[in-house]
This record gives sequence, structure tokens and C-alpha cells, in this order.
Amino acid sequence: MNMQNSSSDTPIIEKEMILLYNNNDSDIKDKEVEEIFTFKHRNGGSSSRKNYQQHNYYPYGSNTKKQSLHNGKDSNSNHTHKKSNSVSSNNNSNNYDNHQQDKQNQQDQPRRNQIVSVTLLIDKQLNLIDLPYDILLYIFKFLDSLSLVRVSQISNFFQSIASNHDLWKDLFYDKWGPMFPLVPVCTLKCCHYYFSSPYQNLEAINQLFSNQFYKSLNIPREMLLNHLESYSFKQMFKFRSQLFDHYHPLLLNGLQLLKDTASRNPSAWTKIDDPILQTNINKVTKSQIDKTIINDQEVLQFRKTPPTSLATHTTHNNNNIINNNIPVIEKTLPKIHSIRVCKVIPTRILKELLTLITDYEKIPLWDVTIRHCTGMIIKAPNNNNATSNRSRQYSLVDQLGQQIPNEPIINHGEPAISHHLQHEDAFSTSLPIHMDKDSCKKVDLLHKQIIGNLYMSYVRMIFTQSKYNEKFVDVTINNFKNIEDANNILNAKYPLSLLSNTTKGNIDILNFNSKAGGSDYSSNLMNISPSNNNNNNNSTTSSNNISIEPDVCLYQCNKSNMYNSIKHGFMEIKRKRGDDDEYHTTSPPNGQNYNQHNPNYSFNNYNNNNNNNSNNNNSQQLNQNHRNLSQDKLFTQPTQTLLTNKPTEEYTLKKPIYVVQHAIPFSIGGNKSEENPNNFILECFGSGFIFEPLNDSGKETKLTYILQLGKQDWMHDIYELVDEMAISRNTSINSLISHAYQINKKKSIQYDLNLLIIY
Amino acid sequence: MTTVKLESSDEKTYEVEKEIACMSVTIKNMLEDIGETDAAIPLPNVTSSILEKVLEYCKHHHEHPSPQQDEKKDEKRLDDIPPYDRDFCKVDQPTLFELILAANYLDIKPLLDVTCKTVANMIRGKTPEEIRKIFNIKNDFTPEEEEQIRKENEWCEDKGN
Repeated sequence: MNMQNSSSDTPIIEKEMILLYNNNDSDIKDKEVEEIFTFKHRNGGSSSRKNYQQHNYYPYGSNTKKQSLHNGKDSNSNHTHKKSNSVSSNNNSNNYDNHQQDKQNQQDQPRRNQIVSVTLLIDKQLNLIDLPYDILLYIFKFLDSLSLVRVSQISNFFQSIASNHDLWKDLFYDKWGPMFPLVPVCTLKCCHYYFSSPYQNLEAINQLFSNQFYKSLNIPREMLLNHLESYSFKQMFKFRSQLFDHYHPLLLNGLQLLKDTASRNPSAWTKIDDPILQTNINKVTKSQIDKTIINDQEVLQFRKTPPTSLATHTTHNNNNIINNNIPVIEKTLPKIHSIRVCKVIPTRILKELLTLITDYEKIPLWDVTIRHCTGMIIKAPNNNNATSNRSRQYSLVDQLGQQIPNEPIINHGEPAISHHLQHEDAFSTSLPIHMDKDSCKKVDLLHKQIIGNLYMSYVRMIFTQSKYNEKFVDVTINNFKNIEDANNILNAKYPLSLLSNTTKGNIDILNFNSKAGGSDYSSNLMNISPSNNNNNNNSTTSSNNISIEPDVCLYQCNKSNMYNSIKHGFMEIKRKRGDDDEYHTTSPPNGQNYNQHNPNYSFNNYNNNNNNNSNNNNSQQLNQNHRNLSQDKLFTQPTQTLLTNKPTEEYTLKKPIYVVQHAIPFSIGGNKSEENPNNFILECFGSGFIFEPLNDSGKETKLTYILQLGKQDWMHDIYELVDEMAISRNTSINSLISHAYQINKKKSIQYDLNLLIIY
Repeated sequence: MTTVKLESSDEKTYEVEKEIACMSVTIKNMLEDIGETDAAIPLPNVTSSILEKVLEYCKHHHEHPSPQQDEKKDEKRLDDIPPYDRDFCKVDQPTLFELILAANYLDIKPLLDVTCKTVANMIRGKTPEEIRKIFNIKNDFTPEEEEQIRKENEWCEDKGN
């Protein structure tokens, strides 16, 4: 380090300001510094840290010597201040220092052009702990939750930084998605109470309802307290993780049950003989509705009364084969009634179908029996960076997901579930519990009110094993809807040349704007986009312009349309998906850069031309337009080969997707559900949807809906109920499919129009 | 081509192209404030050795502009450091921290990002004890506190994340 040399060969006295760097054990120096500058300690950290402060933040005492230093330093301190804002918006703990500094800056304004050099006197080499708070925060922003938690265990000082609200806020949004995905209709009581005077209770409503909702989940007290006591993002992050852990074993069991039932011998199923049903059966979808009864099925359930502590080692049941920390028991149900509804659908509507199923706000749209549906997403799609053991996890998922059901487990006289779980236990020693996390796409809790006082509460998880299927599942989170559109446009409907053009172009558009903010090109871009914010606008613009200069304007319209969709949608994808963006993986770096750069160039160039020449004659413009078009084609050729398979893949299903639903305890109207005879709870075990590719091409999908119920006390005639349920399920699924068709149709009409326009 | 003079804290003067110098927002702002001047701009918080490195970085990136500089706030990837930058950051810890401070002071975001990512990479995947060792940090928790914090954070540990 030259710094030490510099301090020795520069006479200190000559300098107007001396900055002292020193480290842990130089107490004397510390004192000197404190005498000269009245330092402020931050966060009660170790003494070594504070000295660095001078480097950025100037001491604010009022002795004359110091004052002169400040006056000399002001131009620097101004810039330092600007910079410290630019580093991060969350330099909370430095606010005080900044305020002080602001005052100084104001005092020092008149003399800000005085410039003074400063010698750095270094006693010791710089350490991580010497970095200013906001720089440390900036570094920690790059860490994941595990690393952050570990950093907090280093020392007191690091604990305070690593618990930073904003750090965890970012992580929370990254991992768990939107903050309040909870529809405030959780219990009848609170509905009546709070909606009686909604304006009076307006502010508290969100919080109240989420707390009510959480309380009705009957989760262990510790977990709940954890959430209710603190609202820090770190705590909430922890709470959601725990919720996920809490329901995870149930859902694994549910998946198993679902698979088992689905793979039952065809002869075990009996057709439902009902005149109304017969008329409802749809020939196109090859509907098949039947039922079966499964005897002595063992299912996992939560204990009726969750243990007060997670750590209690009470065993309620000898069958309790699970780790005592998890409050679930295995229970044998003498009879499970299963309803099966099978239909065949084209894979191209699968995405819309999944959106309708997984967005709980949309469920009442198609489910004919549902009146209310409330829920919360526990786990959003997690497409974080590939971990080293990712491939290992995939292989294990395959083992669990595929081999186990095929093993003749039941023949061993051993219950399938326990075997399955032992399996899991065996792995969990060497692997994290969530070995299937890559295959698990979304988890949510749902509470439905089905006609009258009949309730269903279940936790739901989507499982799928293939990366190809992510495109069906990824986009189903509420507020990511715009991604879906952009994705569709980009992947499915546009011709290849434009597809690669725009997908590549968008990155550069963003880039371009940020890099050349002052240039005319980007401002042109911005001018065009607002006028075409939606498709209606878009079509009117185009039709208006057609009369003048058909070719040019249509082209422009499409371009800006795509730009819009990219602007609103694809940016989101890029941000949320991170490295999973397919384009990153499919194109080699060189080709990628090439394409990112050039199409946009022509795009901007084109717009620029268009604007400049808007009053000139047509032919000139058309020529230019043609030139630009050919430019586009030229530029996009490299990716064309890379993306050849994209549009067809969009519509194919490679591996099954499971939407598993499993009953969870949920108290309605406070904590008295069992004493309230008016509420009937419908418990489903291992129910849900299975989407399987019907043949090798994957263009058709077989939808299987299975509802499995145990007999409950309130059921008078379960056989009748099952038949009724089957009929209503069939109607609902028909409605679901037609909804999906409609959404899909709307989209394709729109895209077809665009296609027509392009050619 | 206009040049500007920069003076390090140890009074060494460097003449660099204005465009390169202006990759530092701080210098850019200073130049705007000062206007045309032949006087060297003093950078009292940066030593010559560090300033040389910073200028080397700026020069390289000025000559080789990276086309894919997505200005994304929550870009958390740590494995996207370009090879040049990775080699650039292969320095001893104090120098690296000096670079961070200089990048922060001079407000050169790409350099700040890449150096901070390098530090983040040093932390990532390590146990608290390992991190302490790497950065020579003293553990000031009492054993009880340490145990409590470990327990509080257990939920994250067993996930493998």
C-alpha cells in the first residue's frame, strides 16, 4: 500500500486536514481523534469503525481548528454527500450524520470552491469492518437469505446491519411475492363486523384480516406469535418459510394420494349414473366422470389441537411416524370417496386454465359452487440462481415423484405414506428437507365457502418436474399477469424474425434509454409508447394512419406495440426470472450481444427517420422503411436458428403438472368451529388437478380432476353427496375450460390481427 | 480531445481524457461546478495507487464498453462478473476495500458493483466462523447470545436455500 508511504513523506502540518485511519487496538490515536473531532459512535459498534467516518462524513463539533478544516473541505463534502445518496437509498443509520453534514454544507456554501488536499494517515490496513454502513449494506444486497442470516451471526455490529429492513424487504418480495395477497373475507364474523362500516375501519382492514386469517389457520402458537409480534421483513420472511415448512409434509402426502388414486385400476372406477350428468357430458372434451371408494386409506392430518410448543415430544398416536416437531399425525380413514373427472383439452389453453385455477381470486369465476374464496400465497415461484446441488435435487424429485408410486410398496404390507416419508427422512439427513423445491412452483392457502355454510380449507401446491413446464406455471401469480401477455406475444404469436428482434431489442431499449438519456432517439421512443398503451388505442392509431401511409404506420404501430408489451411485461420477467430467462441460456454470448444491439438500433433509427420525415413524401419513407425491415431481418438471423423451436414448445406439455389440494384445519368465526354446528367442513385429501400430456407430441393434455373425501359427521348420505359433487365438479370444470378457451381466443384474435398487419 | 488533471491525496497528478474521468459522477459534477480549468482536480480521498487502478478500470471500460449493462436495481446475480473485472478484483483485501471506497467516493457505479459483488462472493456460502476468519472480525457475542442467535436463525439454516 502506497498510502503508508505517502503519509510518511508528506509533512502533516502542511495539510489543512488530516484524516486518520486506524484500527482496533490503537487506543491512543482513538483518543486523539476524539479530542480533535467529537465523534459520534454509530450503533454502539466497536471503536475501530467510527474513525472511518471522517472519510465520508465530516465531524461536526465547533472548535476553531475544526471549523477551518470544514471550510476547506466543503467542495468535497458536497460531493461526498451526493455520492452517499447515490449508493443506496437506505442509509438509515447515517441519517443523523447526513443531517449534520447538510447543515455544514449550508454553512460552507459560500466557500465551496476552495480545494484542499488531504493526507490519509493509515495506521493499519483497511478491514471490512471499516467500511461505512451504507457500503456494507450495498454489499449485503447481493447476498441471499442464508448468507445474510450467517452474516448476522458474526458479531453484534454485523447483526445490526444484516437485520436491515430494506435488505429483507427485497428478499421477501423476491421470494414470497406480493405482500398482501389476502382477500379480506376470511371469516363471516369479521366480514360482518368490518364491512358494516368499512370507512371507519378502512386503514386497519388489511392488517386485521391477515391476522384473523393467520389466527384461523390453527398453526402452532410460536409461529403465530412470531408473526404477530413483529412486523419486520426478516420476521415475515421467517414466518412464510415456517408456514411453508409447516404444510410441506401434508402436501407431499397429498401428492402421493393423488397419484395413487389416479393410477388405480380402471375397473375400480364406476360410472356415475345420473340423467342430468349424461346430458352435460361434452363429446369434444371426451369427458369421463366416475367415482370409486378407497378402503382404509391412510392420510396425514394435522393434530386436532396443535401442540403449544413446536418442541413438545408428546406422541398422540403410535402411528406418529413423523418427526415430533411437525404437528401432523397419520390417520386411517376407513373409506375415502373419490370422484374423478377426466377431460381432454388442447395444450394451448393450458396456461389460461392454470391461471384460472391458481389465482384464487378467479376461482369463483368458474367454480359454480363457490361463493367466497380467500387465500394467501405462501410461496411464489422461486427462480433464484442455480445452486450447486440443483441437479441433484432434480434427480431426487424424479425418484420421489415417479419411482415410488411404481414400487409395489403396498404389497409389503407397509403403508404407502410411511414408506414415502421414510424415504424422505432417509434423504433429509444428507439433503435439505426441500429437496423438491425446484419442482414445487407455488403454494397457497385457500379457504372456500361452498354454497351455504359448507366450507373447504386446503393448502395447495403445484408440482411439476420439467423446466419446460415452467412457462405454464410461472405466470400464474396475481400481479405478474402482464408477463404472461408479453410472453405470449413474444413466444407464440409473432413470426420468428420479429420475435427474436423484439426479445433481443428490449434489453437494448432499456439500455439505450439509460445510457443515452439525452439523445433524441430515446425521447422519440418515449413519445410513441404512451399513445399505444392498450390494444384499442393501438388499433385506432393504426387505422387512422393507414389512410396516410399504410405501410410505414402499421409497421410503426406494431413496433411500438411490442415495445409496450416489452416495456410493461418483459422487463418484469427479466427482473423476476433472473437467470432463468430462456434467451440467456439458448443464445451464445456473442450472438446475444450482436442481436441486442442491432435491432434496436434500426428500431430507433427508424423512428427517428419517421419523425423527421413525417411531412415528406411517401415513397421516401417507404424506402426507408423497407431498408429498415431488411436491416431487421439481417440482424435477426443468428437468433432465428437458435429460437426455431420456441413457438411449438409453447404449446407442448412434457411432464405432468400436479395441482395438489389437501385439507388443513381452519377455524371459522374465531376459534369455535367445533362448537358451531352451522358450519360444515368438507375435507379433501390428496385432491386436485393432474395435467398430463396425452400423447408424445404433448399438444393435447389430459385433465384429471380428483376429489377425495372422507365421511364426516354431518353427512347424511355420502353417496348422494358424492354424486352431486361429481355433477357440480363436472359443470365447474366445463365452465373452467370454456373460460380458458375464451381468454385464449381473445388473445389469439388479437395476435392474428397483428400478424395480418405485419404481413 | 480534452483532458483533465486529477491529483491524488499524495499529490501525484494524472492527466486523463475527460470522458474517462467523467465516468466518475463525482468528477463530472466537480467539472460542471468548476468549469474549464487547467488546475488539477484534487481527490483527497484517493491515494495514487488506488487512483491508478481506478483509472485503469475506467480506461478499459471506456475502450471496451459492455453492451449488456442492465441497470437493474435488484440484480442479485453474483456470477455475472465479466472476466476482466474479475481479474481486476483479484487484489488483497485492503486494496479491494480501498477500491470500494474510491468507487463510492468517485461515484463509479459499475466499479462499485463489481467490487461489492466480489466481497459478497467472499461471504456467500460461508459459515459465520469462516467469515470471521476471512475478514479478521472479532466475535463479540457472549456464548449465550451466540446460541440464541443461532437458534433464532435455525429456520434458514436447514433449508439449504
